Amino acid sequence: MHDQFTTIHVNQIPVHYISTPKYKTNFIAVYIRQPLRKESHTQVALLPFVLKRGTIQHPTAKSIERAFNDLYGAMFSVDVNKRGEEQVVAFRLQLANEKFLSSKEPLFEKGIQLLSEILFQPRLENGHFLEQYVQLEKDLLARKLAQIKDDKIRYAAKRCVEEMFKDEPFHLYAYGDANQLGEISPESLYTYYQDQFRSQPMDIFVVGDLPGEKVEEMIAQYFPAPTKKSDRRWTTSLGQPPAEIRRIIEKTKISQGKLHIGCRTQTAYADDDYVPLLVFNGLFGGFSHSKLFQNVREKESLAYYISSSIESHKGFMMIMSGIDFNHFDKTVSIIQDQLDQVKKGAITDEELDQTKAMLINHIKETNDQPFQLMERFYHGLVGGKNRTGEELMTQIEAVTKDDVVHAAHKIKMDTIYFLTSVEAGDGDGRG
Amino acid sequence: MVMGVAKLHFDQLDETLYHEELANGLDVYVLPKKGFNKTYATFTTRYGSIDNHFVSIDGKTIKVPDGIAHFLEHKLFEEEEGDIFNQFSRHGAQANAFTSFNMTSYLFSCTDHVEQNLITLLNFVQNPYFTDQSVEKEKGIIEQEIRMYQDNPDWRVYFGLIQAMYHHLPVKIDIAGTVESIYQINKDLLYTCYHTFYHPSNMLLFVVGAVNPEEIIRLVRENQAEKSFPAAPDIKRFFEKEPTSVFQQIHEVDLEVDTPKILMGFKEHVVGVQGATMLKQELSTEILLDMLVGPTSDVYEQLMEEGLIDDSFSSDYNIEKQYGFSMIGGNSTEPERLMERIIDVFKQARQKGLDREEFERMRKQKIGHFLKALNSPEFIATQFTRYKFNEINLFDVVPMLEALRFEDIMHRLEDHFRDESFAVCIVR
Repeated sequence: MHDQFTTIHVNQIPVHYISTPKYKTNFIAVYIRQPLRKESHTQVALLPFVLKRGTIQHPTAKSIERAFNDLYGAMFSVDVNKRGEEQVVAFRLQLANEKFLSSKEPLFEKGIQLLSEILFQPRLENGHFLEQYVQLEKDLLARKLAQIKDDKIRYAAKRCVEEMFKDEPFHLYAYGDANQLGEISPESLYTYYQDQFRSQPMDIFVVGDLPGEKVEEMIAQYFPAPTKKSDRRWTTSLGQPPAEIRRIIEKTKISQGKLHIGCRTQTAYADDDYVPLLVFNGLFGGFSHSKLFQNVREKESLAYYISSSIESHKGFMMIMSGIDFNHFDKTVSIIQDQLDQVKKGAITDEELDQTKAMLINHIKETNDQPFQLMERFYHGLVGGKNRTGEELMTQIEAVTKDDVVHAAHKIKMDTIYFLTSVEAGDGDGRG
Repeated sequence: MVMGVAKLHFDQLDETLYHEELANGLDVYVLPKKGFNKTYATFTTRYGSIDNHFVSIDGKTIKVPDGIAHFLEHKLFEEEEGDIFNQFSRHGAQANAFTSFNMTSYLFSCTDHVEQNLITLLNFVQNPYFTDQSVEKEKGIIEQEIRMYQDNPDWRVYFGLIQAMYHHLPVKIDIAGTVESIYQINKDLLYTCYHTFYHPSNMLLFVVGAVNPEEIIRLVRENQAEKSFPAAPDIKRFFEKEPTSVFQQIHEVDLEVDTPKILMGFKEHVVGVQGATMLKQELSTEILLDMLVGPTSDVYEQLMEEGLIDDSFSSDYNIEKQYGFSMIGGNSTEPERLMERIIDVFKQARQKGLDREEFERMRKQKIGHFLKALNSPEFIATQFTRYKFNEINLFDVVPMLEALRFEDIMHRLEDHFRDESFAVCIVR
């Protein structure tokens, strides 16, 4: 089996692994999840970057970088994501398999060891993180957040989410809030790390040409048990669509309007409607044969990109497109009309079959990408329902037109956000 | 047994590559990947945005509107019976295409129905169907594509630097053209470009993934034998002579960004090389850049601590037959100061020399990164094709890296990083 994880518990940590000779490298990931909360989300976003600034044995970022380099250019990365109303920090490491090298260094063990250092042995001074490192990472994070404005598509997507989920934790950005950075000190961050972060649920993933015993042995040696037992359970609530669709128009210096429409799908990962929702999204705006692509782009030449995508846990769907400033009303009305069409059952067998074929292909392709396989498995952990690739494919095959219509009926437009030019007139885009 | 199929085995990497040049001149390569679900195929012509001045198929020397190679790429997806994407979707394949300075590539990935999808790929690329109406319709779509890129500061700074470096070479023209130039494109011009550059002898097919290589080659051979092509044309392209100096030392672009973006680099004056010479030049320049300004260099850490760079800071080297350049930069609140510091790094290196140990470290890193890239069918197909068009074999990368000497790197330091070939672009 090349795509099924085996789960074992080592030092109380769930370890999910696949032993396979398929790749020329080994893949390791550590996921840590916590509830997405206003008071902690900026600290969570900052923490992994402070951790990778320096460890006891490798006191500077440069020495860590060098240590990874010495492992034949091991690739190490960190990211922070939202999964519904949870904030997930992922550390990923990809290492060459010594099988393909003339040297026989134990790269896997050295990689695990370095990863463990970064997580558990941060460089400290006076019982807290280094002042200099925390300040540097705060500056870098502040700049990263400020720069979102420069990527207009990303900025528009972020603003749409903020407006739509104003009163729910989901409006919080995974990389935190620049206004909260001032309150974070080396002491408070270290306290958070010790008291909270170290006890949050951790999952470890390993994919590569390694026997299970080796994985177990290495994790047992380098990953200590959590400091406290965390059996807290928190959930993401789906929220309610508004009585009326909200329209937000913002202006900036820009040469193309960025349209983002947030919808409530009212379907979460564990729901029976989830797989039909995937099919809906595929035929509505997920692929080039979809309703949106065919009607907005191919038929009307209004856009180069137009698509919809699903967030699996909050019941959120985003439609996005880049259009001429004067085509706002026209584009929105075509999108609305296409959504209504699907709700009325205007789905051909051909569209349904194409969509299923594309979704199934996507799942099979994922089976060749270890980090994506881990993501899929992790969605199941967060969503509280494990669907293997096989099961997902069988369920997709079984989806009927009626199932899609049923899922579509629950979808409600919530917020229409348009980022337009300061030079464009008010005539068209008024809400 | 199939005749004509050559098998090349690469022991260290445990890969076997199959190759056949068909009667019509098409080069077919297949790399089977055991245990993989996915198959990825690219069908590529040696024709990109810089090929805008040439002798057309009917013998006339012509200059075509900017963006036409990219426009042609969009339009090939349309057939008389409709959008070709539908045929791919029906067989669960994700299709796409891209146009670069030197090549246009059509591709798909799939996990089932490989043979049907491959035939679809070959047939749609080899069956141009343009109408006045469909050409007009595409202009609105491409106009939006161009505007999307205009709003993207990373793209603006990237192109801004190339524009600063080059006086004449069409590499300075945006691949998609401009909103004005695309409106000059018509059906007849598209056919002319198509027939000039899409002859099988100017193309390469690469298939990588869960396939039986001999079956795939047989299928392609049969498909090609059913079609008739004129004799392979001798393609004649014209490029104005490009001075070694840069066009403009400093190019500023006003985009009202929150954090300025800066890219600086050196225009390559050793151009026109191919094969092993080019590969050696590419790899040694990349290693040199990693040594001098990469994440483990002394200056990287200092610049980070001084707040002059963030993790967007990186370096890159691009080399093709007609042109080449290095690029260094990222987001910076003080781009001018960053520029002075980087210029100083090269000055210091030239005076004080390089660290041999650091060279070994970067060589090792590069081998590791190459192995990692070999997990990616997309990388293999695209990079193999790009290299082949430059008479390089992708699987020679590791041996070449192992053979590099410290002196090669020193040589590059003196050769590439010359004051008169330095240019910078700042977007703010």
